[in-house]
Amino acid sequence: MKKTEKIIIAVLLAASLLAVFLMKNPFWKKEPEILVTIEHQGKVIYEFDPAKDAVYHVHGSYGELDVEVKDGKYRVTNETCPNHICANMGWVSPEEELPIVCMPNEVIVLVKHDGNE
Amino acid sequence: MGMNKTRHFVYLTLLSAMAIVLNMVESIYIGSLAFGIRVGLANIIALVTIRFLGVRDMIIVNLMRVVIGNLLRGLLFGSTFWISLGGVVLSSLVLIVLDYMKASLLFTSVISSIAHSVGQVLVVMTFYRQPMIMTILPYLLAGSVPMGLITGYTAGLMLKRIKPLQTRING
Repeated sequence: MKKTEKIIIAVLLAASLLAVFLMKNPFWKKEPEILVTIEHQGKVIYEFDPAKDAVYHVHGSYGELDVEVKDGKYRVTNETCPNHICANMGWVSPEEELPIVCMPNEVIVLVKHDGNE
Repeated sequence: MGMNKTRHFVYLTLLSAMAIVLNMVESIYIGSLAFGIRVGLANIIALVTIRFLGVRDMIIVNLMRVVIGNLLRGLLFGSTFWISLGGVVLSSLVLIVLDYMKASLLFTSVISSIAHSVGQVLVVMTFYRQPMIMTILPYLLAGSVPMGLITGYTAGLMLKRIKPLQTRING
């Protein structure tokens, strides 16, 4: 291998390792804020922090439903819909990234990520 | 090259078959080591072909490797096919340029393996609309350098062993 070629490879390796280091650096990383949104017909109607216990009342397209937040988890209760698929999902924590969908009510409960998707 | 046409064709076929088999064996038994870093054993054959038979045959071998390798695994025209095609096209272009510049084998290998990962990432970025895949590039580049050195070294060993073959044909 020629000298210039060695230098080019070394520079590339150093640049990539530097980039990995910078990306891994906790200095840049801020604790991502987890927010869960409740959407009705594609529009966000509530944005809540799953760490705070609360009950959100939603008027869906078909009937009413409640989103209950407790111990960092959330679920749909008191829903008015034919199949109860949303309520049967039970408790969902934000780490699972599972959206709760209620088709008849056109309501979606999902974790929001800020920045890129 | 004063090589017999049939002989040339047979070598081309043999090298293509080797590339396809290496590609499949690698994807079945080794897979990705970490962060999608792969050894790229088929790159050995591309390097050997460009030195042994020439640029045109290297392009044929590389394309055959992707098309037939994916066909045999039942992934033809799937997403992995297009991604690996992107990688192969970019690495072939880089191989052509480096061969024209008469770069050394190890350097050619490293740069073409980097180009392979860059090509794959470019395909995902542009055609699959996932620009954030770019963040994997530093990992891929850091992995490409040792893997390129490994494949380049292996290709050097292979070329040393098939050199008598080449002189016997030409002489």
